[in-house]
Amino acid sequence: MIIERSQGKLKVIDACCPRAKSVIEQTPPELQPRVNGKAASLDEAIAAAAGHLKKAERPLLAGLGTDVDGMRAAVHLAEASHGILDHMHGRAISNNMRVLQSRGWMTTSLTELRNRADLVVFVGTDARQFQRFYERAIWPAETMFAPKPAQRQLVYLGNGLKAPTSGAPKGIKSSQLKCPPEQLGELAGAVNAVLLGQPLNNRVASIKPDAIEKLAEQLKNAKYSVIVWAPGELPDDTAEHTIESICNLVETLNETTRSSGFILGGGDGATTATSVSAWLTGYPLRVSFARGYAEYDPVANDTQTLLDDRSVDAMLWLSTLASERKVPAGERKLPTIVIADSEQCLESEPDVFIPAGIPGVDHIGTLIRADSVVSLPLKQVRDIGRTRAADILQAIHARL
Amino acid sequence: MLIKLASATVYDPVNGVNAEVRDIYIRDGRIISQPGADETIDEHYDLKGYAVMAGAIDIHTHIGGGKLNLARMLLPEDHRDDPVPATRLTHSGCGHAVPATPTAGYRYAELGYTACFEPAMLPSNARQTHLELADTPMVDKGAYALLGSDDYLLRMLKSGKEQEAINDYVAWTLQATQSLAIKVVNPGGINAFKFNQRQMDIDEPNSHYGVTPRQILTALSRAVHELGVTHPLHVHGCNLGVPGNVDTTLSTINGSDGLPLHLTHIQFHSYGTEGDRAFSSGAAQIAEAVNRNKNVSIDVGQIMFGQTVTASGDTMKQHAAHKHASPNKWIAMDIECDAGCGVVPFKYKDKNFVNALQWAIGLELFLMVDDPWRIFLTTDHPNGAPFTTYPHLIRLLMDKSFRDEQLKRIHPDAAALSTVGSLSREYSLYEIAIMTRAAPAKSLGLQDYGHLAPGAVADITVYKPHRNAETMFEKPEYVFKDGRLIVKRGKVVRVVAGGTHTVRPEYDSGVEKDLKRYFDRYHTMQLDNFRVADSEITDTGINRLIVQPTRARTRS
Repeated sequence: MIIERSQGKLKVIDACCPRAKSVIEQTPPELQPRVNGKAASLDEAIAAAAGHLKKAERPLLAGLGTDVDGMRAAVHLAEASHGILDHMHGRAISNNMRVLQSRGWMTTSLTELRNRADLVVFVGTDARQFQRFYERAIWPAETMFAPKPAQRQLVYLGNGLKAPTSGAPKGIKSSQLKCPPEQLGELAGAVNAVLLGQPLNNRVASIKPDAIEKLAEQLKNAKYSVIVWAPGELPDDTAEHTIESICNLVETLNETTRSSGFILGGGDGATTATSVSAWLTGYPLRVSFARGYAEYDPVANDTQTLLDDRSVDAMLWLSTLASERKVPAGERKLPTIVIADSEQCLESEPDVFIPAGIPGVDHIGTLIRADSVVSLPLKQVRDIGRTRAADILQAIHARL
Repeated sequence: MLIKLASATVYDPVNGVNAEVRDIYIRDGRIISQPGADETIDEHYDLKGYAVMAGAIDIHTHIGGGKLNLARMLLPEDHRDDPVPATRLTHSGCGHAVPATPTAGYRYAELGYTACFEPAMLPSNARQTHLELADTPMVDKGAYALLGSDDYLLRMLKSGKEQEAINDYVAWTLQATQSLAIKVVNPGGINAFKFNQRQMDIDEPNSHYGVTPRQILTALSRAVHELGVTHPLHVHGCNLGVPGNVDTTLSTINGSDGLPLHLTHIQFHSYGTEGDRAFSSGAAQIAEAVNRNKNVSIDVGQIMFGQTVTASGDTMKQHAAHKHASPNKWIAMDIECDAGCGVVPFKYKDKNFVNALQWAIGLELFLMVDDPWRIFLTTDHPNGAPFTTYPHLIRLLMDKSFRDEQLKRIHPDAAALSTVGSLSREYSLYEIAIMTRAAPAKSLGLQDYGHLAPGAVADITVYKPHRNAETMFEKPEYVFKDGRLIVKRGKVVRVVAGGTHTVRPEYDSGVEKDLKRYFDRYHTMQLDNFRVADSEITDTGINRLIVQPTRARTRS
């Protein structure tokens, strides 16, 4: 990324993640720590936050939009306060993770997809939320092995999905099979059945057998197909079944040719939080330290459920990656600590508000990419005196 | 700080000390010969009757990086049975097959280990690997960068780039990924799997590049040698787990052309095809070849019975092995035009013929390879078994009657086919000290480690001798790391950070020009971001760099 500074303002002058660009170019808001709505020093706010956590029997540490160091500190703080950890995308993470834990999967990473895929099937997503995905992986200027990017077959399964027009090379080959999102699992299962030699006599998800057979044929003939899903874009009730069906299909394809899944997600630090939790505790998210050691329960340790059930008695919300996600709340008001890069997540005044820096803007840091392989070193581009979330969490920890 | 270990029975093979009673003095983290007359001893340990060795060093243990983290996520049920609560000193975590990083560090230290080496770090995953290693306390760490299936090297070989250029790329990789050595896994096979090749023998060409595993082995072993890197090319050969692979392994040894080579988890590469089940031991042939070829070292990759998980870069063989997954779930991943990984849970059963024979083959190798300086004790953690089984393995090596008892429990046909029962060798404490600390330190080029002479880093383990070697080795009386007491009676008493061993062989910086072009054309990250900066390791406060010397670079 190339950033220019003129007249005290920062301007991004090359291609980069649009969210990063907008954050860097904005004039940062003036923010000050607050306790009970009143301006406080950082030290006072940290003391107040520690006070709430000390009093709490079962605090929830949620949001977790942070970098590796921030997540390390969050895990250690949860351990020390016998708290529960969940990410703002915890539902999507858990739907996906439950499939991994029941059957495993075959996946690929971004650079492989870019260079090898001759057929990309998008299930329930057109990846448009992931703004640089097409530019970096689907339509790069050149590839090592795959046919020319424009020749790449793109197939969309779902409703209202299509390839974006901006940035698309001329003559792209894309098609869509219309399918209600709840029935994507059945559709993937039907393709798998065809490949396993089972005759298809009826429509599946209102799709004619010959269209399903055609897709099966395309997959079978592809040298390296990639099936893309975005756990966060699948309906909650059927996400697990859909992902499982896709993984079954990929496994069948690999009996004769090569095929891989590709998971789109990881936004707001989801992959970073999951990965750090896994190496420090042995479990991906959702983890509870209620009994002094990590216990994994991807259903029970859900932020909204915990708030609604009143199973937690304080909440620390961490959001430092310019997320628009609001601080969640249950019916009953809990002591709430918000550590965030701006006030856009606030719907009401928390008991403690502590402004924190954005990794890659206000301080250096590391984020792990959605494919769980590559991690990126982040640089500092401005200094407006914002503290790192990791330092804030460690300071709270020290006061427990 | 001055510490005296008084009247210890010392096993220090590097310096030829075998069970001699000596005093050892430690000042400020290092061993010294004798303090001045006016110096006061701050800590005194009366070690009469205790066995003292350098801290143990595990040359091949999968403790950090993406595939391990996937294995952790895959197996919550394995963790649930081994919860580790936080204490006043230590973090919580969990154990068994793929422990949480803090737990791995504590448990290694509690077994008397002071350094552990992650043997298969994908360059594209180097940053995360170092993050995980930093979160592994107590022990020093290091990693071997995995090359040989990366498209960049295969393109070089295909286009006939000269050895000097390959050497530059290898040296650059070592530095960019903060590695200590180079590993090759199923040379070229991980790449070939992406082109749908399902097996690859040593002289079989990659369908896209036309490059053979042997060409890759030769190019990389020469590169490592000519760059002056102490540890030889660390080789996970072709055909892992395939009956008949003994021929491939022998061919690898014979084709090494006198260049140093380390063949890892060789147990998995020592299988014949004799007998009714077409599965037999090739250990005798392998041991004979290793005994004869002094340029070759090995580690065993012993299997132990029970649940574990295999995590490997060898997607080709892991995909084939998924049919044996237990529990039945597994992961395979193609990674970044760099390599891949496969994670397959396994349950090795003593009543299963194949598993029983695998166990026996490992022991045959231990007992038939003569020179303990060239064979290292490993289970290829967690692939053959978790590292926590080491004390049991040491007892198997030191105690023939115990070994014979265990032999009676395995599948009778496997026991009958194996020579283990007829091998009377019992390892001595001196030989155990060689294979678990002196030899690994020498092989890895860890200056000032693995021995107890003045000047050495004071990584020291004190054992209470016991007729049962398992009892002796599972609970060291004391462990010192950098001269500080960290473990007492098998329990952590102080948490320390450890450092990361690396090498810095020289390279022509012109290599980056072509690499940058390649990254810009094909990769999804920039070359500058690929490289792991020193500060990423040193600024964490929980890690430091220990740069090991290399010999002067030579030209081919």
